[in-house]
Amino acid sequence: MSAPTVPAAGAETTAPPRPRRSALARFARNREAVLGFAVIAAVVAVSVLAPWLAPHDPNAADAESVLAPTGSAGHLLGTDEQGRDVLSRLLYGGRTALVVSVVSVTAALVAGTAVGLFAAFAGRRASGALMRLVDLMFAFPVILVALSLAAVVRPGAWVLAGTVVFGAVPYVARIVFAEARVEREKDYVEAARSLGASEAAIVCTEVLPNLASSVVIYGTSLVGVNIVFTASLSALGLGVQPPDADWGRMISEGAKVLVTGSPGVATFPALAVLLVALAFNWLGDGLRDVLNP
Amino acid sequence: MARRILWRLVNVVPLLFVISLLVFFISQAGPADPVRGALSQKMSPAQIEQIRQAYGLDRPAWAQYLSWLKDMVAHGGGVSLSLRSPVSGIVFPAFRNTLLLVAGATLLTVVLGVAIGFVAGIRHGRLADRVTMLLVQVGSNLPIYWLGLIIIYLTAVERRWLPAGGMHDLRGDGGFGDLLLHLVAPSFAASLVSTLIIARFVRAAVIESERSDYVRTYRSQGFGRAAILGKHVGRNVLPPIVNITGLTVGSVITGVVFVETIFSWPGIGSVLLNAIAASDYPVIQSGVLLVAVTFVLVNLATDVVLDLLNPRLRHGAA
Repeated sequence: MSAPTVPAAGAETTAPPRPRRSALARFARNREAVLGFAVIAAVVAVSVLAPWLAPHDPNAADAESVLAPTGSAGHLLGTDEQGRDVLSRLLYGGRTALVVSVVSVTAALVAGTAVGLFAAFAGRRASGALMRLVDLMFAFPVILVALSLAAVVRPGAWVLAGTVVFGAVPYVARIVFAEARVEREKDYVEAARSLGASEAAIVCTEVLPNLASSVVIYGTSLVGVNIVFTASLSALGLGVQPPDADWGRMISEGAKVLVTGSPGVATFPALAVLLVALAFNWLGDGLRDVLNP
Repeated sequence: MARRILWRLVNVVPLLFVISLLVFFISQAGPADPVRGALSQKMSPAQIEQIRQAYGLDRPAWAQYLSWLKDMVAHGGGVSLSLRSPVSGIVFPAFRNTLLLVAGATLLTVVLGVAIGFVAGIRHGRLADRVTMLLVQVGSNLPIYWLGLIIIYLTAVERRWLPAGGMHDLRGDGGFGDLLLHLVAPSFAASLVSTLIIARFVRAAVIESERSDYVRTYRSQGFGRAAILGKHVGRNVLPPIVNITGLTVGSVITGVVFVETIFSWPGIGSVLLNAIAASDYPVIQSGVLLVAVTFVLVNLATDVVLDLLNPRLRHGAA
């Protein structure tokens, strides 16, 4: 799994002289963020409305029209080896990947933030041990997690979810740890402490809100990374199972016919994955500019 | 320094213990009961119990773990359930093939990653940098599986430059050159993600050191850019490159498993995928354990190399 570039640890920002535009207005002026958001919104809408938008049943094989070329009548993007409509499968194919990526990354954000915060405010020993563990998870070949999970719970969406969480937690924990260490030394923490606030209260009500934007920004890019990653896992057969339509699965199912004159069967889902992943990256980068100017 | 390296070695032990426990747990938590799955439905509970005792499955979990571990260390695991042959004969040759691919992919990762990162870094803000960064962004979001297919199409079908898959040409002499030729495309596909991680990293490191005071000083004294880059910037970005290379070995291994099936490379990834389809727990366990232990050792080696590169440690301090 690749890592989105790590955002710089919270630098002290001086208040600008002019009154700042609201975050929403700044977001609307950020071309990257708006484009990313629009693409994601469109893809989500299409995935939700797939039952109404799809011209055909995504799993209905049609022996009459096998491997229809792109642009043929009734099959805008052609059909696959079994005569299933590629466009319909494309519309359905993002559902599992999107839900799994968003939900698991959210879970990983919560877990990773908890670990990072705890490590930043715990004593030196506990923090050292915890972060060493995180370092290790950070570099561990996540494919082993996927393979082991598939052996235990059988291939499916749960394998994808578990692997995404395991892969994402260390990244989040590291970033939160680094930023929380910076925050910990700031005056407002000292002030809260001198007013008698408990460590737990300081962490939850003072430090956490200051880290929230970094966590959200990072989580956005992580969703993009994991859309690509889960597609690869499903292509290997560890994720979404046939006959369900899924972008990753479609890529591996279209592999055989890619070189024999029907490149679209595998290429359209690949482009869908690329587009959605890029959109989450754009949104993440845009949010960074908006929230951490 | 020796003490520090020794400390690292000691630290690896509890880690290996935890990994072995988790791998042992795979078969315990798995849905298939090893006895019930292997035997006929018609056996009486008493007979099943007898077999359980014969295989030691009635013993407490820790005792089972110990004998499992002994088996693993002594001869690489038990007997494959689906192939009915010793696991070691299945897993080790496949793992050797995988290591070849990991080595090829790591080599490409370092060479291409550093080259791309350096070029983008020294052309920071110019066209070459922007084009490179766009390619990096697109490349790191491409589904590897599809990329592998496209590489096969372009290099083996459209042009017959490279073989389409496998490790050896069936009609060839099976020599080293033939193997290298088969290694190129899968190594490239497997290395892509980690190559781009390193490229981004090296780019940032180069930009940062180019801006630093010491580089400005050298420049003001009239040193040529090439000399500064080669002698000083290069040396300063080397340790982080080693570090990040060690960290990306995990993602290289992941990439290798992804591409093995595409390029029909007879490696551990293909073996594991087949074993999962067949619920062949002995093969899964020994394969996963082998890859995980190798990974830990690679990580250990990276740490030691970093220690050796660290001048503060080399000169006896700390």
